[in-house]
Amino acid sequence: MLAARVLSDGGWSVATAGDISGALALRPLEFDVVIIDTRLGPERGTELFEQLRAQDPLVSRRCLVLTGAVADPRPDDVAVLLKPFRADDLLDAVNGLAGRRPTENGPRDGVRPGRAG
Amino acid sequence: MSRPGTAGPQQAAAERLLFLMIALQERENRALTDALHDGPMQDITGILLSLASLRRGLPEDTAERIAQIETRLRDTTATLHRPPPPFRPGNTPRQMLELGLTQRVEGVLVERLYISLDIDSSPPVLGEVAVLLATVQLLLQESDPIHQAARALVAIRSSPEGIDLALRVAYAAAATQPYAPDLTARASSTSATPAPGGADGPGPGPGPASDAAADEGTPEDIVPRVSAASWLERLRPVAELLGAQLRADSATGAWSAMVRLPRRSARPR
Repeated sequence: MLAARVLSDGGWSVATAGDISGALALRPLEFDVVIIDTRLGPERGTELFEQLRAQDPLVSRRCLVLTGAVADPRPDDVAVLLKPFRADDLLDAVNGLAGRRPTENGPRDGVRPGRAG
Repeated sequence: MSRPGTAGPQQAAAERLLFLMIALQERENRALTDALHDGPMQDITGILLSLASLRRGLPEDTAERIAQIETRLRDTTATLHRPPPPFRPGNTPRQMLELGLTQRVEGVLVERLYISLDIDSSPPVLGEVAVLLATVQLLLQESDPIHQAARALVAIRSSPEGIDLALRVAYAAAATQPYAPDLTARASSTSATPAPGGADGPGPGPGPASDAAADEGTPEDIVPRVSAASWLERLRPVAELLGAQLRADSATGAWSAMVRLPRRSARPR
């Protein structure tokens, strides 16, 4: 929730979900950026990513994986943000994936990135 | 593990124990990683995001100081990340051995470890890697349960017939030989109780000299009596169990162990 607030303050419209089914219900492929925690309770965020990639092979270009462990398995071709991270790290990563420059952190209409998980 | 041609149920049981020891280390490592991720890393991320939220309402100079604290907190915490485990899926036998030896031997059992691997033409399987890693760990641990050796060389060569492991261990010129039961210690009064494992346990046991010096130092100030015989006697049963042939230099405390693991296909049925 704190991450969602940081992104909201950075000008993004954010939707969140706590598990894979909830994330899929948000239709994440329609979002500009999909942020996935590797650990979603008993589920693996990488499973969500694989499901999304099966639907859209290019989704990795707009996915950001959050992980707290170097050893966590994760896809090779996806941007990764290692915990702990600063708010600015998160915003920079999301803006980078969406093609926004770090200085463009102000509110912006019409952008619908999301955080799933 | 054994001399060629002597493979049998006892060796298989010993190898199984070595494998289980490594499996246990992997499991412990995974549990620690999970605990770190699900606890402190999540919490500190939350603190960092809260700080960022707080700083947005502050004057510029104060906000800058908070931002610096955020960076320091992130960078400091990042050093706590545990390295990828040696037996991570996808790792080659060479990576497993190098990571395992680097993470679990260097800095733990020896100060500086040199590794020489000639294994690519006939690489060890996972179980063999575990046995090799555990053998090195156990020999070093039993040779000295307290001090790190200054240097060690682990050389492994594999062929279709078997795997040869050579371990050579040396101590700093001014340092002690491996810890022996007859070592005495300048121990504080609180350490003058029997070590958990008895005289061979992980710490100097009580003795007249330690009593005499009870107020003079710390448990780390161990003074050796020059006796290679006692630690060699302690190491020998473990070496025998592991099928290791020992050689020691009583003058320097340096020693070496040679172990041969026959390959499964080369072992008599």
